[in-house]
Amino acid sequence: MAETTAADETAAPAAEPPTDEASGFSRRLRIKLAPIWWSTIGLFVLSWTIQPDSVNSTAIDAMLPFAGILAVASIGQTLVVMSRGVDLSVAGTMTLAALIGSNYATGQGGNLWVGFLIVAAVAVIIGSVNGVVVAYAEVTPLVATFALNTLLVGVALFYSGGRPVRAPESLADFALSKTMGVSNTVLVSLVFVIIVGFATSRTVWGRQLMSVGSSERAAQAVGLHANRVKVSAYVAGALCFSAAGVLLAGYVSTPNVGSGNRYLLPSIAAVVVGGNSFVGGRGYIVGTAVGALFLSQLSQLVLSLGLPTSAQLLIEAAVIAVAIGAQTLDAAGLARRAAASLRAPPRE
Amino acid sequence: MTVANRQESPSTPAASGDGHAQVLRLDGIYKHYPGVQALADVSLSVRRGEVHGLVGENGAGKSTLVGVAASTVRADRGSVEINGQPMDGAHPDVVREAGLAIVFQEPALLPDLTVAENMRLSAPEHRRPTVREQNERARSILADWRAVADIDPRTYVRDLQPDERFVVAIARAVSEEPAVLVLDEPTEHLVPAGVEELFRLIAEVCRRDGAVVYISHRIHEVKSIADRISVLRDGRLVLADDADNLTEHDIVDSIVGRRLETRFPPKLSPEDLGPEILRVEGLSGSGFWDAELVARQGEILGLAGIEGQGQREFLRALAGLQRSHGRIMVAGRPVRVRNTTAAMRNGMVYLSHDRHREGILPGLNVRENAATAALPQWATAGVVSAGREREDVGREFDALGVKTPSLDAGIETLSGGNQQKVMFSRVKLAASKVLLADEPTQGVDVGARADLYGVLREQARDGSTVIVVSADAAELAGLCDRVAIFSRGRIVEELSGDAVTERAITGAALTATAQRSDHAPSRRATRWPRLRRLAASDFAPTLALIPALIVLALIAIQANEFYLTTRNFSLMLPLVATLAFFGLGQQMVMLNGAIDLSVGPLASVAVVVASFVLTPEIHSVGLALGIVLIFVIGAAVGTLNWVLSTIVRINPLIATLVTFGALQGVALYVRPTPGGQISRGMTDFLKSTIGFMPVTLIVAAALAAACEVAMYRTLLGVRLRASGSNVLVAQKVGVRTKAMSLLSFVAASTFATLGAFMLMAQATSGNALIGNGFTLSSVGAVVLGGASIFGGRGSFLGALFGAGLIIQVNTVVQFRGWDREWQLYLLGGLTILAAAAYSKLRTHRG
Repeated sequence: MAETTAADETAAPAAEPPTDEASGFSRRLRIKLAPIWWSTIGLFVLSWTIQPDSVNSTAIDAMLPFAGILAVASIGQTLVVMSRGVDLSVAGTMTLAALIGSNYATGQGGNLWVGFLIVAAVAVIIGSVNGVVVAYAEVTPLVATFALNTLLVGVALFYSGGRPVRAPESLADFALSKTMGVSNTVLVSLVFVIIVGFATSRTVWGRQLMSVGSSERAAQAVGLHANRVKVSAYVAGALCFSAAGVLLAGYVSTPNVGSGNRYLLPSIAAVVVGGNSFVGGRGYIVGTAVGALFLSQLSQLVLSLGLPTSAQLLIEAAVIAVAIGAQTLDAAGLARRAAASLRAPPRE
Repeated sequence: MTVANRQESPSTPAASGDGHAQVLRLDGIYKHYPGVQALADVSLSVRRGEVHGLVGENGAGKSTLVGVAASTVRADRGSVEINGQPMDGAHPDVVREAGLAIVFQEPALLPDLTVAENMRLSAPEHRRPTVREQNERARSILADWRAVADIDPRTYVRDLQPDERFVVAIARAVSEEPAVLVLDEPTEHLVPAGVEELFRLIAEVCRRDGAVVYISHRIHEVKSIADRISVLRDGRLVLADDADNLTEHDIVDSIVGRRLETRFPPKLSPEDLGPEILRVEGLSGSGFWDAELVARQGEILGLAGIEGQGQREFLRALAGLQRSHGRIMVAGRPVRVRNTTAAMRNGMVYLSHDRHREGILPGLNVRENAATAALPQWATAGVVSAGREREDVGREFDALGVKTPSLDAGIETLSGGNQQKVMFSRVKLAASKVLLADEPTQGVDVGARADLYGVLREQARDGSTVIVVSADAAELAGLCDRVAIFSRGRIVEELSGDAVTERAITGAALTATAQRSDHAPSRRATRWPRLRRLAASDFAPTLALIPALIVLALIAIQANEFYLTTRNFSLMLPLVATLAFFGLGQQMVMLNGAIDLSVGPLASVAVVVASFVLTPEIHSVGLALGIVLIFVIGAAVGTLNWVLSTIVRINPLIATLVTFGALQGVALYVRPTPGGQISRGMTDFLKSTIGFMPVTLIVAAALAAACEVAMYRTLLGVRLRASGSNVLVAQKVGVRTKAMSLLSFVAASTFATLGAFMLMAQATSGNALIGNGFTLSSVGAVVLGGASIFGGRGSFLGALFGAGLIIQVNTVVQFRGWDREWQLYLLGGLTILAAAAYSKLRTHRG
């Protein structure tokens, strides 16, 4: 992490990927932390330069809670990605948690804790189903979680009757108010970053998750219970998604059946932009959280420029592509591969 | 000394004039890999009619050299000639056409293709059979081997045993009547009868005036069959001479480099033998049965035998990696090892022979690699103490002499020997009573080997027992206090004390195998072979979907007879056709092992573009141009997806997620709010029917059938499946995998564009969001249809029926008047069930 050089500072987001010729080893070291941090700092500087209104305190106040909610969901996604999977049921899980959390807490005269417990129990069930189908039934994660997501949206539809649900006052109050000048939603997400970051890097569980994601067979050969570890990743992921769903419910006050959907793709994008590799193994929780902040500020900037949705989508796609590209490729290698693939083999 | 560039075809060997014409010539080859000079100035010439032995230690550069000859590895410098034709940088196909056939250590066969398809795919062009002939041709090629292995050419390679795969690879190579046949460690996987057949075929190749390059580390085998021998050491050619001029001793010396006696640590003196730690009674499992064994503290016990006699399976069963039944007692206590976790808990830890796939944790650092199994011992309440971990790992690394720049260096940056030392420290840190070491010095150079022997001895002396499986009798003789010999899955002899010598071990193993000659490897039961083949085939899911469709229809009819009316079908079937097009596209990319999330928004783009260029006022030429434009846009998007995923190498899921967002942006930019009109003439045409059957569904079904046939009956289709089945192997056999990937992405986008035309007919105006939902439903359709997201397998008819099932579910729910969520329950539930069932069918076939 001390390996950052001047080359990185010039690598502003959306401008150009770093094209340094560092050796593979030192480059890998740098990827761990640098790109997303510099990209994010660069983005804020850019925002301040071209549209100061996008970084004033009102704008930041409006953006941060959403960044926090996305960060919590993306952290859950990171856990699953570490196990060499992906979880598309993030959408359905968030929605269901938002609906159940709201509904139940309201029904109990606003007792949030009972609501939370029930939401957590549901998350454990969802994660277990995902994990068991992936690990024991050996279904591709993409397919398993896609199918479960369909089911969950069905359950959400049934549960809410298709109508928006009103979150209890206490939840909304909590989500909207601030502690020491910082939004509670943001504080909760910071707590998640710290807990999950600690759990993945310092606990036996996190290290085992890393090993299983890196090589399931190798981990199993030395006594790790690969399938159980995988299931635990999906359960932990679902717990994060549910927490994000409850936060969302509090923040928007009236969650509906579609609430979680808009988090599906960004949660995956934040993981990748944050510098995580999709082949499993080590996870960078802080990177993911910063990635979520990056994506949220990007939308904020584009919105504040008054651009239409179309431009917003195009700019976001381009920036995500560049941010990922900056991590996965060196320009020289790209050129070589392109040349190699275009060169027609000689034939008689 | 240079040979003139004689242009001659491989089929006219007589033209070479003198008897020493060189069929294969490698000159001054250099190859550098990160961290290692794999080859330095290696020259090799192979003459007609000779068997050329190529020997050297693991990592000496043998396989790299062969790769250079076959053009699958690109040399940094140097030239290759086959029959006088320069081959530098030629495509592997060209090299093969020139007469070089190669049997790799890991046979280059594609798992998701049948035996016959594999043979057809890799045959040189002038020998390639037609699809009609392929099974017959394969059968005749395999005929010579029937005594060794009876292989049906229609079997998928993934269903073959390892030795059967090797037979296929050798038989295929010999059948090409190559000018040069390269065999890389050919006898490793063969039963004795197979070795006999192999030697007979080698003689035949030489009689035909071909040449054989025979790579092996079994020196006496090479000595007995080769005419000339070349020795590689550390990427350099150190010896090349006629076999008659060399003794086995000379060869060994030049392989090892210096006259180095591997130093083994002193053996155990009998008075130091501790109490019994491990007792095994009547243990049976796959590959071994009724094994009895006792191991005591302080001793190293070797398990010997010819490859594949059950010794490895026995060891893995103790480690919990394989099922077994019988009695296992550790320190006097009966234990059960249902899995590796249980084995570890009971004090048995396993060191794998397959460092790459079952040893190192790629992407993690050396400390994390070493610490994996021992984490709990540094943990308080589940939290690992970083300080204690670093301290213990560091101490272990020092003791083992691991050469690493730091504890945080990536495992892949270390040399093979040092990686193996990290694996050793992993099992040592786990502090077990029984260390199960499987080929502990595989791929380790001589110097590091001595260190590792010392480590094993020390481990035993420190209160454990060590059990070693090794194919190297000299290693077992030097290291072990006792050696048990396995044959045909049983322990047939036990040597101890002074009887533990290389000669005794080899002798016992060999005489034991003599009894094996009548023994053919046991095969799976083949009852109902046709039914089994069908159940495991890519077509099975389609057959499963048909009853599901019918049952759902009956449910709908029971509720409402309107279901059976042509009016209902005329509403329902166009929806099936629409989804089918998207499904066919998704199936295309999945066959290639990728996924395309952008199909939905691409259709949206196509529809909004159509609302501008295919307006009702447009004349026929404009209409045609507009349609062409839309297809060009589709192809361009497919190309973009290909560039991002295959060239830039972004995971296809992420890459097409990016294009998903971008296309949505484009669609909204073109038409922010719904509007515009699409040519009535065209939409009416698209809605035309024959009876109640929409023409478009007929087209979709015809396309599905055509694709299905093409996948199995055309060379292009076989190549596409090959590329999806295993990219690296496909490249080895000359498939241009990047081109296949481009084809699949462009085809997917084109199918999505066809789907978009269906949407135009339904909406008749521009809407920037109309297609988005089809991304996920297309995935649903192919998954229901049985696609494997790993590529190589799947069925276009399956995708068609999958689309039908999705629409059917939606219709049935409406007809029964069920709530909307039932659609989602049924789809989600069916998808999970289908995916799980297909997955189980595939893994537990036979």
